[in-house]
Amino acid sequence: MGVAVEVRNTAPPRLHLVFAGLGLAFLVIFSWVLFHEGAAEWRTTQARFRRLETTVKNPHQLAQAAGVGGLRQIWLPDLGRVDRCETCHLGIDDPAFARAPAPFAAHPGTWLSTHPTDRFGCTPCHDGQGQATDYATVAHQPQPFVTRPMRPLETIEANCGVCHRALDPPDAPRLAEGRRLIVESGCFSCHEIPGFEGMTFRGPSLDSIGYKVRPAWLTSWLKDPKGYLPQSKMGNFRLSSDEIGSLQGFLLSQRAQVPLDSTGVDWKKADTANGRALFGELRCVSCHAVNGRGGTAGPELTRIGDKVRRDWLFSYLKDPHRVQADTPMLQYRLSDPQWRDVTAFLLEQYSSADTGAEPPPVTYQDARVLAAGRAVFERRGCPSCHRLAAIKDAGRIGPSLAGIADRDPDELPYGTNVVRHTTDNYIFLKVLLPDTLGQTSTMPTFAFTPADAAKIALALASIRKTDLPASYVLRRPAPVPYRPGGKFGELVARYRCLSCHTVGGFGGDLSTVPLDRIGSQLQRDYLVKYLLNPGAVRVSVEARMPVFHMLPDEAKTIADYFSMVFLDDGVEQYDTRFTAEEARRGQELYGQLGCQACHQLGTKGGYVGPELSETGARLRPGWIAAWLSKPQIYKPGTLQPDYGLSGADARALTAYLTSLGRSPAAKARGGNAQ
Amino acid sequence: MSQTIGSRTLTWLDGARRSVCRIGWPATDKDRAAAMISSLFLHIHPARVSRHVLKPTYTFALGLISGILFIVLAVTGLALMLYYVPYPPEAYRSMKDLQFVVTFGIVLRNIHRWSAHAMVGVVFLHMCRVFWTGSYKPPREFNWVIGVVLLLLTLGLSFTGYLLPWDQLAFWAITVGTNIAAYAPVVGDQVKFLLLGGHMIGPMTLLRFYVLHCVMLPLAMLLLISLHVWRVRKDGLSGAEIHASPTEELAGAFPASTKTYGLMAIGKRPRASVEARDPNDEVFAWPHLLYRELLVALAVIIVLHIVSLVFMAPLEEIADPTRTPNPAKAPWYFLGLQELVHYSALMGGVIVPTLLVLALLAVPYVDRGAAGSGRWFAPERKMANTIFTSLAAVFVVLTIVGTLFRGANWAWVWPWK
Amino acid sequence: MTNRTWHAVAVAVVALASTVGCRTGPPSQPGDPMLNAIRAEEREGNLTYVESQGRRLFLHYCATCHGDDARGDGQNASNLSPAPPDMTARTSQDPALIRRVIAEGSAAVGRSPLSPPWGRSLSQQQIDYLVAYCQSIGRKKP
Repeated sequence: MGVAVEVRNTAPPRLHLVFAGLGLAFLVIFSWVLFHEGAAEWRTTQARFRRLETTVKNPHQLAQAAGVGGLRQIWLPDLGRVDRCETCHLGIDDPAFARAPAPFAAHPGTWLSTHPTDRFGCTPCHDGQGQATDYATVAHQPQPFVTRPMRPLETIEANCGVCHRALDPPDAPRLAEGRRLIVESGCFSCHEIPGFEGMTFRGPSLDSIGYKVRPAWLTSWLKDPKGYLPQSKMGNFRLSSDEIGSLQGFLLSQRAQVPLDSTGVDWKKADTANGRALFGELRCVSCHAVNGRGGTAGPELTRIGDKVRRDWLFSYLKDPHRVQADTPMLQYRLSDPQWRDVTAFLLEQYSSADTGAEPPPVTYQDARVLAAGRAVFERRGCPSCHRLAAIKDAGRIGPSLAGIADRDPDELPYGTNVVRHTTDNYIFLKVLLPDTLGQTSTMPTFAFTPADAAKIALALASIRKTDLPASYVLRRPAPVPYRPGGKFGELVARYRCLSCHTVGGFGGDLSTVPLDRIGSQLQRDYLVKYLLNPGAVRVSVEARMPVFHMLPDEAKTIADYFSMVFLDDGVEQYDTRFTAEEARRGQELYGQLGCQACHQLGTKGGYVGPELSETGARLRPGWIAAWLSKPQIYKPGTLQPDYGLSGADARALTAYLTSLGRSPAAKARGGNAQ
Repeated sequence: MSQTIGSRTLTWLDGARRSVCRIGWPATDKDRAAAMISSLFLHIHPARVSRHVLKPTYTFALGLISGILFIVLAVTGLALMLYYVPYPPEAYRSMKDLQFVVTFGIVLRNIHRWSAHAMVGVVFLHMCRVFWTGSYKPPREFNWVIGVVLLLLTLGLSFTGYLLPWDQLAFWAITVGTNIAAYAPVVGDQVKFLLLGGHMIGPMTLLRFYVLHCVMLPLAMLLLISLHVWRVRKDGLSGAEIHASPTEELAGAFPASTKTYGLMAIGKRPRASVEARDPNDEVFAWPHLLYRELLVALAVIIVLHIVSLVFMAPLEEIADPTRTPNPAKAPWYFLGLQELVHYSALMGGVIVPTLLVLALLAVPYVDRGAAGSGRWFAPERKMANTIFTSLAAVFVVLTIVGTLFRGANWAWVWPWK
Repeated sequence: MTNRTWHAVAVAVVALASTVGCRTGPPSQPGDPMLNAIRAEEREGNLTYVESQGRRLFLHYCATCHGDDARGDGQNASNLSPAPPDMTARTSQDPALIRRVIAEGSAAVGRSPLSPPWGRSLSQQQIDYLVAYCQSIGRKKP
């Protein structure tokens, strides 16, 4: 070491001060970082849970319990999700925490047993940011940049619909009601809506409307359909008076088919009292409501007299299929005078006092008006619901709703409505008030109640863009159209059986009896009798099968076809050699189970279910046994409870019921009721 | 016996220590000087530096801070690579995991993000400082050119990193940024195609940007930084000559010496040799320079931590090519360009940036006079400084306008409204 | 420490002049009309979601005998002996008992067999809903 460099060459002391200060600051900052990590919200929450656990469980249970510590997550690779909700919701699947405070409470209901978390996680139902581990960023409340914050329970059913694509999802009443309203309102006529493919919604075809309606009615109808008829399915198109004028001119000039000649009918002889009797006998109210009571399958008749012309109505009643090929209305076998009476009754009974005389049909000649009316007709999408031979159906006029729930909420219009920008709110406003969203909308106003609009919006909010793995999707395949041929097919078409009954799920839902296994359920002779003169099987049901005035041959054809084709093999093989002991035991059971609460026997008992005194002549024994054993299988939602009967008990009851109402001759033959 | 074992163990340990670190803890100035020269990491400093170097108001330590930020970015970047999957949508999910479950993940990401932004700013300021002090004057002309390339690399690194979170912000910023590139005549579309690995941003783009961001650009950067620093080391800090006036402030003055450093003599340098300097004006780099560098590094790290704890790195919704935000903005350092593109695509997208870069590269070869080097805003360089300052100010103003004053459809908005 | 707290600390400690890009939680938001429509309907029915689910099932399965408002005046009530009880008269009911009667029938608790067992026809969840509705029947409207 040279002496020359012995001079100490040190840094100035103030630098040491700076170093001390910065060093301290660094320590503070780094402890802050450590603290930040160590005091993470989920850690303190888990500590709270451990304290709670000791109060909820006894020492033995505590020893059994899996300790909680660290992040917990459910990985759902199929759904591309990681849900870490259970990091804090620690008691979610533990009944011991049923009454624990949030966030430790057990999940209410039995949802987790039907939707196990290892398959469904949390966010597929609840939404929110599943990866997050603290209250705020999970988006329990709306958060910036979280597209789907947690749904409030009021609208959570929208997420049921993502997987449950059938029209009637279980335990999701708002969703089911929303979908029902969509079907009822025919939204899919103008919009392509996933889940409603293949469904059609048709208003009456308008080819001969010039002969059908009175001009005054058409004016008021076009102005506001629901003003004329609150139950109308047609929305208000908010037409200007000019548009109404030209559209009316265009429509009234549509006269493709002259009504049947009714000049031979002597209207002076019309007997409205007979018409009223027929109106009841034909069970018109099963489909048509009058004064608010009756079915909704056909148009309401309360003010029919203000609407239609007499000749057209007579012609339509006599042969509805000629006038309107696609109508669900059946063709009765009545004579001209009978139809005259019904027509006269309808026009007299169901018209306003101030309805004037029927003006003669006018031919509109002004080509300019007709062209303008035609333009309105096409522009507003009328052909989507109403067929008109003169106009080619241009397809759906409205935009497709595929992926509607994944639209960017900030790009949707809200008009002057001060609302939070969410697809939910947009859909809701669009359904409720289509003309307030700041754009000229061609969509009619349907005058839904806010609650109904909310349910429709909720149903639409389940239509997501993302495709789920097929294993998550519950979809009921669209029923295959059933169109039988031959004589039977002609009868089915004439009497429009499928307007009320279903075969393989295809057909109307008015009747509670699907025809798929009708031949195994009912005895052939009873079928014939019933078709010729349908009576009330269930007293409490208002909609009844109409009296068709069917010919006996026709009834036999139908009954034979049913008994040969519409069979259920599982029900057919049944040993009908009942013993007297079985019948006696069945009678005992009948009382013990309380069957009389709902079924009438003679004059005793309730009238919720069918009257049973003729059962032996009506039902086939195999069916009785099958039905009593598992009614829910044959008819979900039936009021017949499942008593969990043993095979012997079901057989005993069948023996007893089969013995009821059989002719002595049949009893003498013993055994098979056939 | 035991003593023998003890002493032999000590000798053995000392030998092992020497194999790693050839000299011991330097207790004397001479040892420290030797250490400065013999250590790979320390010898980017000279053993002695001019007192002028230590004056914070001359450099504001901007080059040093850039270097520190680069090291911080490299370290945090390596840590982030452990969690990152360069494929959508996992790329976005890994951001969420960093935020929610990775220990210190969010701090790591925040530090990386804010360091990257800071580096763009600091490198730009460093360039301004070098210009305003005329430090690119001979013999440092080419080091300025390297510096300009380093600025471009910094922008490139920041830009490629911008896409990696794969959120809406990233996706659309890169869309806008690469569209600016596409305005170039003739080759514009090809450049864009090359950048994106296709016609629009997709998984290929992400992978491409990832490789650029994590391998290619950092390597290039490392190489050029080494070169940049090496040249500073060879040429010395500008202004040392004219500031050579002894002051009495420093605690210990270095004794007069006529020695020239052999190592320095190897390099053939035209001027600014050690001999030309006044030894009284010099201090040992250790501790005077090293200590200050340590303090700056500490301060930078503290500031980064505070900023990262207080401000979260942005993360928007996952990238969705079908949902264009309005306005879609490039990263902030390109918003000056985007603002120009708003007036004229060709001007803003091609002509102005090309001219700017060419002009920057040409600066030391156009402004050749030696006068005014080594002093802030030397009067001799009034002209050059005025031109540069005006251009820089215009660009800064354009960037601020593009960042804060532009809303939907690039319409004027007031940021406080 | 929650993010909210962090923000509060952050805003206090670092008094930066920048007012841009610094969010302190979501701003006060305009309403949710869809949610409000559903809530209004719930308020009108004076039933919680679970209870209204129960009511829906009650109307389908039970009301023919028990009456739409559980007064024991359903259209089939006059055919029953003993007649169904007026459930509105009771203010509190043991949920376990209600559950038993619904699931296993009135015979299971020693009463007449006229109320059938629904345990095999309805899901556990549906019975939960029904129990919840039954418990709400005696409740007065606010």
